[in-house]
Amino acid sequence: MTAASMLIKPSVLSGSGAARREDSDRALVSRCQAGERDAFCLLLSRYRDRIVNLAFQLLSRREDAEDVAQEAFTQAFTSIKNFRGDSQFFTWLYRITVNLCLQRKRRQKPEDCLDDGVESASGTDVESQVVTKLLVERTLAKMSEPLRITLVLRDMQDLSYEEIASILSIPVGTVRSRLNEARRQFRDAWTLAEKETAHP
Amino acid sequence: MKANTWRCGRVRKALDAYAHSGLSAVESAAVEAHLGRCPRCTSEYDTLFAVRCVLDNYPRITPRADFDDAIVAAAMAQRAVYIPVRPNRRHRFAFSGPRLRLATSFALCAALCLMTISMLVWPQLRPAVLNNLFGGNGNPPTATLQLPAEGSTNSVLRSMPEAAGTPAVNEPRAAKSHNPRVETEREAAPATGQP
Repeated sequence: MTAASMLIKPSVLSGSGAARREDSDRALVSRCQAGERDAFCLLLSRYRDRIVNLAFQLLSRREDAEDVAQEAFTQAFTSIKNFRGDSQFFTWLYRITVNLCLQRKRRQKPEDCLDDGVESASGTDVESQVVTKLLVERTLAKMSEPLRITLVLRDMQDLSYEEIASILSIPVGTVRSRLNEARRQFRDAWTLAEKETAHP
Repeated sequence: MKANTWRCGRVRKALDAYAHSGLSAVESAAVEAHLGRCPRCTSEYDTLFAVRCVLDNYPRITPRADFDDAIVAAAMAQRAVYIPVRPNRRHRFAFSGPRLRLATSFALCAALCLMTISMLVWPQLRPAVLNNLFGGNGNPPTATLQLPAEGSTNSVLRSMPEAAGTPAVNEPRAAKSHNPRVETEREAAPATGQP
């Protein structure tokens, strides 16, 4: 693959979109702190998919991912009165989810990781997705925890460096260096895994 | 900004934003111009892009249908229990957690310091204090054992088993509690007739 033949994926949220989302989140959090159930439902519907998928990308098991996401939302809602608004709501929610995932991951046995989670319709797609999923999981599993989390947050969740820094409570420079190292390790491990798959 | 003046360091910092379409048209042109002539930055960008493509193909899941209801129910149930039970942080006991630990450590340190100081200072202060308390040479008065006079009931009782030719029952205990001062005073007593 060369730089000339690339297909650039558009950013998930532009700058103004992120600012709008932040303002809207703040209003919803205030309403939620006042005890409005509807506000919580709105926040839930806004971040449900991303939180479930973040947990899935970190844990690789659908059931675990849904459990952790549920626990994260429940924790966030019950302790939302303690949320002071120093950070954005969604980085706070991500932090809770990442911490819960790490706790779950430490309890998880290695063989528990191999799971379905693939829901495409056609048979070929399912097969290729399963292969991709397994390869990605094996490759990510070879990396250290900080590198893996940083890579997932950036390249799978499309978060900015500043957001990742806020979630992981580390400087932006550390995020940058971790990402460089994580991508280098991932590329090497992926190349090796592909060779092993092609010539077992 | 000159599009062709970007160096490797600047380009590498901008590569991620470039891959995410986060640069302006001018900045993107500068990066592209640099990538066209720098193989090392091109290699780094290829790695970044390849990893991103692979991770983009990771399957995504959608939560089950009753996911929201389950969360709302769980959250409401927890909140119903949680809010009344948990006291407000401002109304909690002010001396708990880290504060309590800090206070305990401080008290222990203070006690330790006090003990050290008193151990260092006491030998120097001891004579003066004892002088004030007892007068004289500064030594505390020694207690003397008052032995009964010869011929009293106790000495008669003590000598009875020996007189009868039977061994004294409490001999070992007497040997165990052997005290030279007692012996000295016992020897001195018959000469003076006074304890």
